[in-house]
Amino acid sequence: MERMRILREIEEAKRKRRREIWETFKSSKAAYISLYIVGFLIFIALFGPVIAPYNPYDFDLSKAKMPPSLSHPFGTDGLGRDILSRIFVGARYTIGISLASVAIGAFIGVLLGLFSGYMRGLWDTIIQRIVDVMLAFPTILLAIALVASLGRGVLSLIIAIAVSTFPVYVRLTRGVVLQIVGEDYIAAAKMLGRSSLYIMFRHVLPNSLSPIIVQSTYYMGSSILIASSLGFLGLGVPSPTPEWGSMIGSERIYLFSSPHIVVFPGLFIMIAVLSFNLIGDGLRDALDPKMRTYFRRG
Amino acid sequence: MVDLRGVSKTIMVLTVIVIILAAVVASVLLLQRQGEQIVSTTSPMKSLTTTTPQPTGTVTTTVLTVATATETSITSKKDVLKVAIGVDPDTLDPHGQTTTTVSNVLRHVYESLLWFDEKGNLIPVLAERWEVSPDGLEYIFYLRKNVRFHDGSELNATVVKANIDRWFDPGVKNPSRSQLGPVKEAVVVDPYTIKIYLKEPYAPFLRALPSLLITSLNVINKFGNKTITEVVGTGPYKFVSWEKGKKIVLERNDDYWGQKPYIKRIEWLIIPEASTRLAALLAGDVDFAYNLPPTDLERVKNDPRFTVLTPTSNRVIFIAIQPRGPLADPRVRQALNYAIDKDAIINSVLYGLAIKADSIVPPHFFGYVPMKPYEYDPQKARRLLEEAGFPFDKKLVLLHPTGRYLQDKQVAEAIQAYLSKIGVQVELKTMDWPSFVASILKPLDQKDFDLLLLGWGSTVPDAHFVLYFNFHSSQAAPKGLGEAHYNNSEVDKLLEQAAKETDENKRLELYKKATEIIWNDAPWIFLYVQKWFYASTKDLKGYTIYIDGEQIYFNKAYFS
Repeated sequence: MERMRILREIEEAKRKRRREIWETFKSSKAAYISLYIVGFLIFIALFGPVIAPYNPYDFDLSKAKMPPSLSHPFGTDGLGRDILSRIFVGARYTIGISLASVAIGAFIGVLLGLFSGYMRGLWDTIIQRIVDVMLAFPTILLAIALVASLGRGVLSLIIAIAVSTFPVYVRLTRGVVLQIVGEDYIAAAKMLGRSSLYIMFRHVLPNSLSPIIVQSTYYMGSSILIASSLGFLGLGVPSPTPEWGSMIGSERIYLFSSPHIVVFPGLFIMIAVLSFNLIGDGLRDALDPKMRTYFRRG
Repeated sequence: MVDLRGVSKTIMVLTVIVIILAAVVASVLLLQRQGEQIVSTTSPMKSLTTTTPQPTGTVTTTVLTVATATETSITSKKDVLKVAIGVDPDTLDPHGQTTTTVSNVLRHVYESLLWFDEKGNLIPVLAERWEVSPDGLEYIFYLRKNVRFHDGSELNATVVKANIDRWFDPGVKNPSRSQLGPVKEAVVVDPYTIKIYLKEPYAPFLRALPSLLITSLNVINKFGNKTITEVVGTGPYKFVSWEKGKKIVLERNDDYWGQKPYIKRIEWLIIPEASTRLAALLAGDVDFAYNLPPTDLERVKNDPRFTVLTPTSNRVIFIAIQPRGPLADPRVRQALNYAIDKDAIINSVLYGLAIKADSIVPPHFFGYVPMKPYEYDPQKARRLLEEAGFPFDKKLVLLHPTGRYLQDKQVAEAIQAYLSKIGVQVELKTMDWPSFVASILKPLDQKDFDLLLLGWGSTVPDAHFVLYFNFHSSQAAPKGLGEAHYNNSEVDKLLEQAAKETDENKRLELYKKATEIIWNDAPWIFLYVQKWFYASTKDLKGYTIYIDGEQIYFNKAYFS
């Protein structure tokens, strides 16, 4: 009976906490609106080819560089392709790349951080020194070097971004883990004779998740930026794939003569990055306001 | 919670909204301007042709005199002319020139034995007249008398011989040495007569001779085979100074043997960025600007303060097809030629700054033979590919430089799009110029690309320098620069004969035959001949565009 009551109380407390988090998040208008924007972007990414009015690869040089009009709401690019359709279809590349790279980067980073923070000792030193070296490298430079050696393409872009961003997760996770390891419930679990692996994944990881979630949200934004920068530098997804950054990069010579070609994909990049950052802010306030100093927006 | 943090967030959100609004407003404003521009010029091509008459016929008018000023009554309203160029000289040595713009500047100071007139005919400069022996092995030049160098010494046969000897001195770093061909020796006949012996007949010899700039004997004795850094010539302008990376200053030579210039001083400002050159022109800091960004062509053309020049260059742009696998089949190569709409690319991607290639060499070259262009016909292309059994699942790699030729990356993307239309998949490989050069100079079996976007510019307007160096089997990469690895013994024979034939009509006939064979074999995708985009202020007149379309001469220019 007593056990049931305690469990129910725990359940109740959890629900209350979730509601609290949601309420705090909603109280931040910017984050709330951003959530809808991101929802919309993900919708585009999923259904881009269906809702695009034209085939994004269909070119017609006689219609090149047309300013926005009713038939082409965002105008056409240097080869006469519809920019709106290209942005719609390109969303899955840009957002997909950042999603995948954040997932991979976070996965590697969190595992290493968890291991490093919980085990301490020699392994911790080795991992942390490697992370030091990698953090000393400018992210974009590392990404450029990686793409240059891996060759251009969606996969190498994902790997490059993931590899150049995971050290931050290692640092972050380790910091949180160090705090948690000192808590009483970990000591209790140890006394119960639980294995290190069990404690790490059952107790430490779930309790350090909130800063990781916040960091990942921020990094959704910065991965889009890195992917776009690489695309702009000609190291992104090869043409004619309409990744947003590559769209700007390959058509940047028209910036002054036909600005719409560059402005619209740029606007979408800006909105996407901004929304992810604002959601990150909202999540940070909602999940754990004390953790503010931990985060890097990249 | 209702504290500073809340306030700052509101401010942040407001700032974001303001930024977005500003971006939208800015783009809308820019777009409107763009819209107006498009409305005001309905056909960019048409207006282009009115500024530059298109050359027709075989050897055509290539020097456009913007305003002929032959009367001596002309006086220039301004004494200083400021010209914006893009490159800093690598060398001032008259026998080591590599860069057209640099020799353009120096040719105001140096002169050569012969020169080209507006029609592309050879005219005498330092040589008053010349004779060629019937076997094409001996050339006699009678020099102009009373011509003095800027250091006071006199031009005579000994000086010219010293210049020729230095040109062929292996100790002098001279990348253009082979242009003058198989010269055996130069012999001084009398003080004003020099005889040049060739080892074998070399037809382009006279047309290559303008490359030989003549400097004084003092300079040659002083520098020997070291790089000459003192600029002493016989030309209408004297060299004053060169501030590295900044400017070159020339001053009028008041003792010039020919017609004296109207403008006292020319300052060549070195501005590497095309957009900065444009900005300098728009701000009135310069009177003439070389090589402006093509995206701004319309804008400058619509500005009443400026005259726009779009001379045809000596640079043909093409795609060298690597003849292996399915691409070894001429039907496949012809199909690729039919698949690309060159007119559309010229109009939309190149802003009209090119003329469609209707021969292998530019129209103002000797040996230009107009052919029937491969008209855009995707159905025919597809049919030819199917006939040849082209493997449509194979992906072709198109290697192209970026920032080297006019809109090169954009052109490559357009070609990729056109080829995908007939089912040929193309992967683009973009490279900056140095790595590009390193990766193309390889034997055919080591190349990791199938198509190569390339330009070929020849300083000497003679078909020999395009056809021989691209299509003679001895010139195939990596030995030479023949990137199409063309190998046809009949063409080899024709090109060898043409190089030796001194009778111009017979020579033209040989080039005609060779061109016909090569054109039908389609080792290249023949694209277009690039045009330049220069502009001057309206009051600057009298300058001439040299036959190569790239160099401008200001020795008869004046401000009205």
